[in-house]
Amino acid sequence: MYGGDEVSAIVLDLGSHSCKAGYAGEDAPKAVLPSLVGTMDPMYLPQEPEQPAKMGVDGDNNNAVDPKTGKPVEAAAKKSTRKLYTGVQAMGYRRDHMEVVPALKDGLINDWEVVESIWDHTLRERLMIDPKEHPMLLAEPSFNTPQHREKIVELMFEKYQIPALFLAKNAVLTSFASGRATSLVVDCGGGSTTVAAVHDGYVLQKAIVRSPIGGEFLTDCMLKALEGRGIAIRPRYSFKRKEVRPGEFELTNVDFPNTTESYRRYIQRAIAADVKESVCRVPDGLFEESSYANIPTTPYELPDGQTIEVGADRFKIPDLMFNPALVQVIESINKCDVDIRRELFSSILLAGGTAAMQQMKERLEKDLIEEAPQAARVKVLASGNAIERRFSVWIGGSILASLGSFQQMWLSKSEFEEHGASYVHRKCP
Amino acid sequence: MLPEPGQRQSDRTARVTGGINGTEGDLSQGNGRERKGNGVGPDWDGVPQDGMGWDGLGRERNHDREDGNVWAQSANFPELQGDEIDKVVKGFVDAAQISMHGLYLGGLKYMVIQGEPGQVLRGKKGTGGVCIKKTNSALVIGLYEDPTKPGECNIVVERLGDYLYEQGI
Repeated sequence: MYGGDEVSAIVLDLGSHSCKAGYAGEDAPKAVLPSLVGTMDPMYLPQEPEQPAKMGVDGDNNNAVDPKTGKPVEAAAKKSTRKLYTGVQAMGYRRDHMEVVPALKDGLINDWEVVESIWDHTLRERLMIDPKEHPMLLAEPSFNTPQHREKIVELMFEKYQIPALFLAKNAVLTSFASGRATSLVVDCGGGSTTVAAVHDGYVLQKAIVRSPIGGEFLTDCMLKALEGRGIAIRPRYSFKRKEVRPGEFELTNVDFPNTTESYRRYIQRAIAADVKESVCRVPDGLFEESSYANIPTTPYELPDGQTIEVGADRFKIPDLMFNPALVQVIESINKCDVDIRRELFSSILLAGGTAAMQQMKERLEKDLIEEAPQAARVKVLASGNAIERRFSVWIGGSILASLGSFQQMWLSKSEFEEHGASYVHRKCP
Repeated sequence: MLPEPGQRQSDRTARVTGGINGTEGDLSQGNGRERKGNGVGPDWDGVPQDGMGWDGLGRERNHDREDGNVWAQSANFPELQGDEIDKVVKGFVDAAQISMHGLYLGGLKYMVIQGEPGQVLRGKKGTGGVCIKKTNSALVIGLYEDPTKPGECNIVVERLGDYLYEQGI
């Protein structure tokens, strides 16, 4: 067993939208970066003047021999190596032919190479730690599959050589962050919204309900709405600003034909997301075109200097969260044991970046009170602070990893070596 | 000698000894022991039972699935009622019923948390809980309470289950 040392644990939460990492015991993650990487096919990379592999007698590349080690080089391995650019700075710089690839798909890890790259960057360049010295607490989706869990465990122990590991479910960590052992967690994240019931610190597996409507979906809707109104969202790299008179700027378009579509969308989405976060509010009741037709508009200045006025869209877009979200909460509670349903109704926790939208808590509470059975007392709890709502999973991990009683629960390297990756299902139920 | 249906083998119950750290050594001793048996069910004399418990805080039981016989159990294991075992067996096939209505053992209700479908069922009750592992013809049921952690209970129960499985039980 791994006994807690003075070296503090690292808490790592890889979500669909962003990856949060930091030290246990702190109240916010030190490193927050997007869960995306830029990839470039090797054929576009600048050719390096290294010695090429020598061709075999028959000219077939399969028999090529690496001049340095004298061993045969796999032709297939060379072709699939793409260069990855991770982190806000690397991705903020526009490169020709750079595609943007997400790490997660449908909430689960999809591309392991991308995930490794993100973890490398986070641990070595952002946190600047040596993974060998720190136990890691990883947050995983509440619906994570056993295969994914084993792969994460293998990767962490074999590649990063960490001393100890624990996998905790997102819903459990959110519950911890609010100081409750039993609650219904509504996690409105970037990629999807997940409703999970936690009882005495453990997720009730059959009661997890998911919906694909998350922050990124709302951002896409905002982007479409703006484009539909004829407003062109111009990425920052596509124009140059020159000051012609004091305070007045002239814009010239700069054309980069080799910029990939995925990169352009990535930058446009970042701008639309900022618009969404600044101006959107959840309406008090169901959205109706007529009642919001005359609402005063809110101005927003785009990077190219254009000021746009956002009117009814401010309320229409967040309202999309509510038609399915409501059904999900009731569905999840109904799948739970009858005895704890009452307790779940009175401790509904809101978490996630999208939950930080204004009036989200009030609207959810109001809709649930109408739909829930009469006898149930509905109470929705959410931290007042937007930062805490966004990082509630990470904060819960920070709290858990600092508890004295948790130190005996780590899965240590020696246990992994002795029993294999499947031991994780027993130690981290 | 096989136990009669419904009869508890109190003279063969596991002696609950040793703390949690003693379990690893004791399990390994079991692999080398001889097993007597007439092929229908195991004779529990040869199977390691020491050190399964947790100083009386944990309880262990092996149970034949088909006809509900108890093969061995530790001293303070609660009496299981008639249809509880049936529900558990059904729960290995489809956990929806027990998830909604609870897993009952000895009249006490446990909430079903994540297990491994078809192999392990886990339940939680306050700070304690249960882990049930299924082998070819037996169920190993382990109950635990504070301060034993769920992970510790899982390890012991599942390793005994794995051992039985390897022996073909």
